[in-house]
Amino acid sequence: MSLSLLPPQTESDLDLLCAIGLYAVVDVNEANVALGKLYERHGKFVGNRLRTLAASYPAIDAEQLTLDTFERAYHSAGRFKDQSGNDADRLRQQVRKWLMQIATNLFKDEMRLVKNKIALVTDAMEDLPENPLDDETVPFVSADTLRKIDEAFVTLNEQDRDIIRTYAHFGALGEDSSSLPSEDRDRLMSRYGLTNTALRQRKKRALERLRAQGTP
Amino acid sequence: MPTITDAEIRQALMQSGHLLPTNEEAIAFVEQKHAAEIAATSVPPFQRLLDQIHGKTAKKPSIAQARFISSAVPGLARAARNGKDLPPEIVQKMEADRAAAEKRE
Repeated sequence: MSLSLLPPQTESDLDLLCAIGLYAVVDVNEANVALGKLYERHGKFVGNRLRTLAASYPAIDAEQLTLDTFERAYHSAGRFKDQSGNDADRLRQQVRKWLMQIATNLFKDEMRLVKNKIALVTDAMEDLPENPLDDETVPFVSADTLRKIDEAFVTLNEQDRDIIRTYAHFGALGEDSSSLPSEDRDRLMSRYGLTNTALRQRKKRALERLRAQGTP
Repeated sequence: MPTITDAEIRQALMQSGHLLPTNEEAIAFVEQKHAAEIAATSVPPFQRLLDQIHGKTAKKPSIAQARFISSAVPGLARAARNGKDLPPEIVQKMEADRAAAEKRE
């Protein structure tokens, strides 16, 4: 049965992604119907997060990035892996997590263009995303700590915020972390005229300020 | 006194919107805290997405891409002139114009 003949709300997000992956090749109209439902369910969430992030980056066009995120999702829908165990809430969050990972790749590409003004073959274009297995241990952050870190972060200067964001994007905030890709590290060094050591010191000082103000 | 960890800082940045939320916990937090704001968010019409995907409209370049394109045009134009360079005074004026335009931004 085609998707357009199903009653509304019958399809899960996984049904929609499978339909897009399948029909994008054989019946574009059906793929469009499924994409429309996915956009209706998640478009505002994606748009809202990108708008919030773009508030710190005026050169970023949040609306266009929202469209680009769904375009990329359309072309890579078949690569989404369901790890929800038939839990509808978890599935929704996993789909949004996947969309956010696509958006993060696109955002990083945009930032490379903004800051360096050179053309790059993009990660997002080359590596159509699969959602990785859920093996990340996520810490609980109390409301008080969250507020304090937020307040401390906005008091950092723009360069330090950019440095912290870039390291944090890659989960590379730690002192001994080596997971920041060298090209991104080199880009930060060149952008702010810093040596590798100076960059690490800037990050360390900014982190210390966040820790000092965020610690209960 | 317990010290806040790097993972907690990263999670806090996601939950407060300084990073995009890329784990389920951060997404659940944002969904709950910003429900009304998310519901009120306007997004481009779906038809615009379809047109972009199926190539009925040229994809609008982002501001970043537009800046790159505008900075690349002189080089492309030079290539179109069979590699002949512009006179130095013209190149100097173009660079000054571009620097002034970027300063205005």
